[in-house]
Amino acid sequence: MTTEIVRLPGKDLSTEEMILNLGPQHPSTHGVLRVILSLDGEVITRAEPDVGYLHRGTEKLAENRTYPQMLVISDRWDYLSAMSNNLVWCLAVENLMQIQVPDRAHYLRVIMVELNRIASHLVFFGTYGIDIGAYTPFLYAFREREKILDLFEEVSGARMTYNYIRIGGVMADLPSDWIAKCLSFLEWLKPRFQEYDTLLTENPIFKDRTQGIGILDKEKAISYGITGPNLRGSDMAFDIRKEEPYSCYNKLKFNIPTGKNGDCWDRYWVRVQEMKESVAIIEQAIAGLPQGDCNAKVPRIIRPPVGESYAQIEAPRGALGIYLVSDGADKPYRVHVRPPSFINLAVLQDILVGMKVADVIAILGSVDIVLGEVDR
Amino acid sequence: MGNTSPFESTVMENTLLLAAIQGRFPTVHEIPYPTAHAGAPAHEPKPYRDSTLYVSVPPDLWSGVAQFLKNEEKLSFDFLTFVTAVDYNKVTAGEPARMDMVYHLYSLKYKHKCVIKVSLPRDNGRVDSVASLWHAADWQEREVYDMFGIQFRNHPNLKRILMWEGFPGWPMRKDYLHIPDRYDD
Repeated sequence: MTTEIVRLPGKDLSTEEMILNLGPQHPSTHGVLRVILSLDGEVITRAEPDVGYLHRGTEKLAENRTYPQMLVISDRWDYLSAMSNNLVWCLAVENLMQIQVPDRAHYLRVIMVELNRIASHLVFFGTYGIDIGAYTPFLYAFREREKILDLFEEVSGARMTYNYIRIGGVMADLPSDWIAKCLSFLEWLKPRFQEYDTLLTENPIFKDRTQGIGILDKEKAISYGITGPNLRGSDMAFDIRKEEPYSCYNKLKFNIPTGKNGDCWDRYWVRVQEMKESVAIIEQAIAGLPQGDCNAKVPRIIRPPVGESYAQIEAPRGALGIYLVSDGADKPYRVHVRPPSFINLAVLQDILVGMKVADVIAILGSVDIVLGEVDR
Repeated sequence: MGNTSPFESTVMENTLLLAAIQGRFPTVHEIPYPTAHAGAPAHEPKPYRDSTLYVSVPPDLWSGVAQFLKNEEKLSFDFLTFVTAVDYNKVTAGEPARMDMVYHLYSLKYKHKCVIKVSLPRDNGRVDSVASLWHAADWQEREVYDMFGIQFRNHPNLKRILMWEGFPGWPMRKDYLHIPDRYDD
């Protein structure tokens, strides 16, 4: 919905460009993001995201840490889905060392990552409602998320930074009654999705604020390297879980929801559908959970051979990858994180131009970034 | 090749990919799979690398090769997975110290991928920007510039992205020395 700028002739009508500084200390920027907006009246003529306020130098830190130590730092990238970060780090190291992870560990990993995907999308669902001006969905979303965090606390001892998925397997097997608790949670969760549809999805005010807003077409999304729900919202069924299945995703059946128009509402809708798919995945994984060991034999000091590897997974925000170069020492020679949030955020400078100021927050929220991952 | 095209199968083998690139750019060569150095003890694990095609491109050819990779119908590398750099200042004997640009490319159409490496000198490295071909390179090249000091020709907005303007030095270089400041203990 690009608005045409009407210019009236006459010298005395000349207008001045206005610079609006959004953030870095503003709750709707989801962290410390600053966007410098140039405005002509209400219409944005230029948008320049300014990132780096949360830069902690992960890649440099990695060069001075052993492989298991780095796992702890991986929790801090996308802190809303720390399990995914743990998983991709372990996959990269296991690739290099050619470790075969036992089947049970694969299934446990998938259960945790998918639970974390639900928790992460719930945060999106809740905060996106707040961004648009609906406070209630937030309370619903965090009620559900709390139960997932309780489940995580039982297996890993932590609520945010789990450090549960370890190189060669997982930290520990499940507590004895965990599966029953998880299944009863899923049963309890399923009817909640209908509540979300009545709260936001089919809410006319919400639809007015999001449909036809911030349209990201397929070609542009691909060119910008957009992945995850943002790409799928633009009618592109690309999901690493299907393209290059890792862990045990090739044994599980699930659909890839895609949007049609690539607007804010489609990106929102894809995430809500993905939560339902994740529930189905977890149920299948629990049903198929094999018995046996949940850890491979891993040397006490992890010293991968010389070489390089790229591991990628479908994190809640898109393709999260680790490019790992080893020189044979017990510390990585070079680590590069492919952060989906960082790459998705770059498109903002493009899709904000021509939109109204009032839509900035709706578009920014729909891209769903975590600044811990943008800045690393 | 006769009537049957080697590109008929949706996933091209690495050799076919390489042949397609070398057909146009003969000086582009594959980076061989790493081997254990001579006299390595038997208990040492063998070097490992992903089975993807790794290609080395000379810096002056890079913009031409990049256009070919993206626009050639048979290759259609439309998705730039990521861009980064690796600083090789301490390498095994016989290898020159260098800075490698690493581009991971993927084709959403044919589902094939390839890794391009462009070796640059460690000091004053310069390479053509590919931000006009893949917009994904815009911010990622800025990050490489920010962290390694590599200059990108024809980049639309080459300035620091994660560190602040005026930050001294290039933090991800292996020879970067941290100057203690008030944030240190």
